[in-house]
Amino acid sequence: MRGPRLRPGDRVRVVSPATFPSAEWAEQVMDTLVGWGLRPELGKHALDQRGFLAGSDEDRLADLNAALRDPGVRAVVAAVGGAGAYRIVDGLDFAAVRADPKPVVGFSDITNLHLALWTATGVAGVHGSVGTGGRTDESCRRLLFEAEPITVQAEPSPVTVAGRATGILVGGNAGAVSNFLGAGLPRLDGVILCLEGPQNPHFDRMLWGMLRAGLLDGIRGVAVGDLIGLDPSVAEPGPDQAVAVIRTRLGGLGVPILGGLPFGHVADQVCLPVGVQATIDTDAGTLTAGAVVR
Amino acid sequence: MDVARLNQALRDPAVRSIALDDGDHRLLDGLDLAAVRADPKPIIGTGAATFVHLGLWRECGLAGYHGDGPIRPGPLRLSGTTMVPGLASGVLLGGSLGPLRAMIGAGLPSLDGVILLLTGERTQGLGQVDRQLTHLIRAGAFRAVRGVVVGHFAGFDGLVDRDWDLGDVLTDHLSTLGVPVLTGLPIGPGHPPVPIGVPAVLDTPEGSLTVT
Repeated sequence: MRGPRLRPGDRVRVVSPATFPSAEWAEQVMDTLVGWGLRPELGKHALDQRGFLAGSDEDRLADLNAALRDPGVRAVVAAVGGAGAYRIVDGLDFAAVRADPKPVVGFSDITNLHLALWTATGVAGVHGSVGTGGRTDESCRRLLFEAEPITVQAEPSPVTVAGRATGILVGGNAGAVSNFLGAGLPRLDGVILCLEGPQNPHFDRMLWGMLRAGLLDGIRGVAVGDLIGLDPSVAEPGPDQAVAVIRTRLGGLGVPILGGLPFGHVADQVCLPVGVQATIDTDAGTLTAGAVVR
Repeated sequence: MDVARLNQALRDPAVRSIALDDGDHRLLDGLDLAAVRADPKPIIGTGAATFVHLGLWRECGLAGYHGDGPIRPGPLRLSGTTMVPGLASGVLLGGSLGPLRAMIGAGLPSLDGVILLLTGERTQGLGQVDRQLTHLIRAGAFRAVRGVVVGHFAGFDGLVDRDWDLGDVLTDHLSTLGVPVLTGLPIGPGHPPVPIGVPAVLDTPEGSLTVT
């Protein structure tokens, strides 16, 4: 399910479903959207603070649902990720999204929203961010404004397993995917699973859980992004370990894996569509994906 | 310790208890359940030991010890601080929060009717604890617990993240479960072992956990 493509003059809503942004960063996100000819509005509670959260669960959810329900709001942009979107996924107004689909833009903790929305409604979204400039902004703008397929080139990667596969592109942050084990995510039959940000002391444990739960039984392929960064942790395995984990856990599934894709916690990431049909082709080193909007 | 060495100890009739002080989730792959059933013996540890405790509780009903060091004989009475008042009795079960969460959908036993023990080791920040508790609650794992006892979370002393500390995150989730909660118990990493998989009474007017 896709929302209509954005047009100059459209209203869009900037919200903070997880952690709060600095006022300066929120302004930069808004300015970027203005630069695209849009009319951005800041969610009422987007700058609230409660611990590491942007205000209470009720307020963050209210902001998000208000944006999803407003027929004049044509896209919802998460100002930042952080932590906390997983706390409000069960309260999303899925009926509003089904009645009036629109893309949600974000990544990292915002993958939790993408997964909940895709599971309940099948709506397409944008894995990425607004405001850092470069190809991140350009690829995001293109995904929101143009109803055209995109192709992303991968770098050679030691996790790649040769093959070609087509399926629905789902996922993003590996930790967010594991948040849904036994808690609302059906088996990922027919899916190309996106994984990024696995520099996490528990990356192997996450994949172990997904495999034990049977979550990955029906996947068609895996698209791997950033293996380097996430939040600084006490016990930090390096990217070499992430490579070994992917090879050990996923290398034998019998599905192609395309590593080296430029998405995730890396500078100048490319924004990806999620919830849309996509093809990975390891010979060409490409991920081709359908449009987020219609 | 890996699963091969653990199985060796489980099969050795001369070994009467097993101190499990390292390892990870992979200990659950290939445990010799027949050996456990034929000759049950307690496993002692925190952290990764929680994987084994919960796996063997589910498969074999095996009780164990959460903590480090030698087993203390006899019933225990431990004091804590009341977060939510009340009286509850049930089997004491649980352990390290990370492994508990990692077993969701992957073999976590039912926690219905138990007094839930939560301890932890820091591998990331407060957001990680928040994710773990949220996941367990969203998965319904805490739906029918009768009480919660919070032990030691190693590595969180002095950690303040945007005005929140560990206590704020724990209170945010545990104070709304509708069951009595006792915190600050001397249980967990670096503390003497406490039996789990055995009956216990949580009594907040007394500020105590009694384990028989």
